[in-house]
Formats: sequence, C-alpha cells, structure tokens
Amino acid sequence: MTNDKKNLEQNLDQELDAFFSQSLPPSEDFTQKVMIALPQEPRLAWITSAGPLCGGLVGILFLYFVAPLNLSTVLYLIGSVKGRCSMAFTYAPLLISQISVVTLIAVGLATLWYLAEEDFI
Amino acid sequence: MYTDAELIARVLVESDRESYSELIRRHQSPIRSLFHKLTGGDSALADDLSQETFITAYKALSSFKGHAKFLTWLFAIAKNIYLQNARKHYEVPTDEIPEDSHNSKSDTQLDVQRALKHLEPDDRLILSLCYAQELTHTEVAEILQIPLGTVKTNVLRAKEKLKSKLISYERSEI
Repeated sequence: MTNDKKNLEQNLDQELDAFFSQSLPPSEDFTQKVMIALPQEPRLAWITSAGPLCGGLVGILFLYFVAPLNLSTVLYLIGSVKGRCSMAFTYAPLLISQISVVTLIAVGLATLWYLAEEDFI
Repeated sequence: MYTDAELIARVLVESDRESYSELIRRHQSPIRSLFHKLTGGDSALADDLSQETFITAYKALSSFKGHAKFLTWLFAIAKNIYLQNARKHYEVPTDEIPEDSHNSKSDTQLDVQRALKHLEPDDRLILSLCYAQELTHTEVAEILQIPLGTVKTNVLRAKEKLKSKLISYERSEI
C-alpha cells in the first residue's frame, strides 16, 4: 500500500465528515417559493388512489358500452397490455360477470360525478 | 411550539398552510443540503428537486403514518425524486465544480466533491445520507428500503470507489 493510500485511508472518514458537515442555512425565499407552488390542499389518500381506479373503470365502461366488445374481451385486452395485472384480470371476468349492468351504470355515473367534482371534465 | 406531528395534523384537519410552511422551515436545510451534495453543487437544480420533494410530501401527507420521523419520510421521498431525475437526465460526469461551491472549501473537499460526481447515483446517495445527515444505518436502510447488511456493504463499496478516485486525483497532482 502506498503512503498516499495509507494517508487517505486514515483521513477519508474525517474528510467526508468535514465535506458533508457543511449544510445550507434555511432560506425564507425557498419556503415562499414552495408555498406558492403548493396545490390548494393536500389530497386525501383515497382520492389519490381513486383517480386511477376511476379512470380505469371509465375506460372499461367506454370499451364495453361504446366499442362493440364484450366485457371478457375488454378485460383480456387490458390484461394483455398490463402484463403485471394479468392474474387479476384472469379472475376479474368471473367477478364482474356477477355484477349487473345497472351496477356498472351506477359506477359509471359516480365516476363521472367524481371527475366533474375534481374538475377533470 | 408545535411538534411535527401536531403541525401535520393541523395541515390535514384544518388545511392550515401556515403549519406546512413551518414544516418546510424546519426541514428544508437537510433536504436542500442533501440535494446540493448529490447534484455536485448545482444550487438551482438542488432547490428545484427540494421543492419537488416538499410538494410531493404535501400531496401525500395523509399517507404519512408517523412510524418514522417526518424528516426520514422526507428523505425517502427525496431519494425517489433524485433517482428519477438521475435516470431521466443522465450526464457524463465532469470534474467541473460550480463557482459558488469554491467558497470556504479546502482543496481536498473540492476533490471530494469532484470525486462524488463520478460515483453512480446510488453510491452518491448512500454516502450522502450516511455522512451528511447523521442518520443511523437503520434509518438509511428504512429510507432506501434495503436490508441493514446491504447498507453497510454498499457504504463500504461506495467509499472504496471514492477513495480510488481521490487517489487518482492525488497522483495527477504530483
């Protein structure tokens, strides 16, 4: 081992401590910049997760009612695209076949209401 | 003086934005310093990433369960934002250091900063978390979501890489 390496070996922790100990002081400008960029209020967790879920449901309803595809085909297509969810989609037709069209329409209307409330449409 | 948990509750229950600004004042320094080190002293980028961290945290505040410290949770968000940014905007590392980084730094510290820029983002991150923020290895493991043993191994490996880079600088100066 060279002298350089030995010295560095001994001092590295010290140098790293010295380098990393320098921290930036709080800045009011930064705080104000973040506050201006914040959305109006934090979203509740269920709304955050409901967004993609409702979007997915709208997609399924659209393909089912508007496109001339039956539900199994729709789910198969989505399942093929989203390979990771293929297991879920394998079982989904069995579950969804139990749900009446009326329920699907109710879910669709609720979704549209939610999207309108959130100013998405 | 309110605790972090009380401030979070006020933000969530009363939509009190002033409480969130207090949380930013309290925790911006470690977050901005972390990004400053990770971005090789690029203050503008560091502040942009810090801002994104606080905005993401605000949006996801209701998912903060309080099992860990609020700052540890912020670091976990910062880690994701940093790695996403590093993947999107990969740049070939250079030895250039921004002018404002030269202030009050010894030659060795500037060498450390240069050498850090040559490390992989993961290595840079683990060293910055362990050294800069005085976090325990257990906390770093929690932030990075990897086992404790892996943290220790990765820190040693990152230090070895940094050391070889620093040795190459010393040799080139001779």
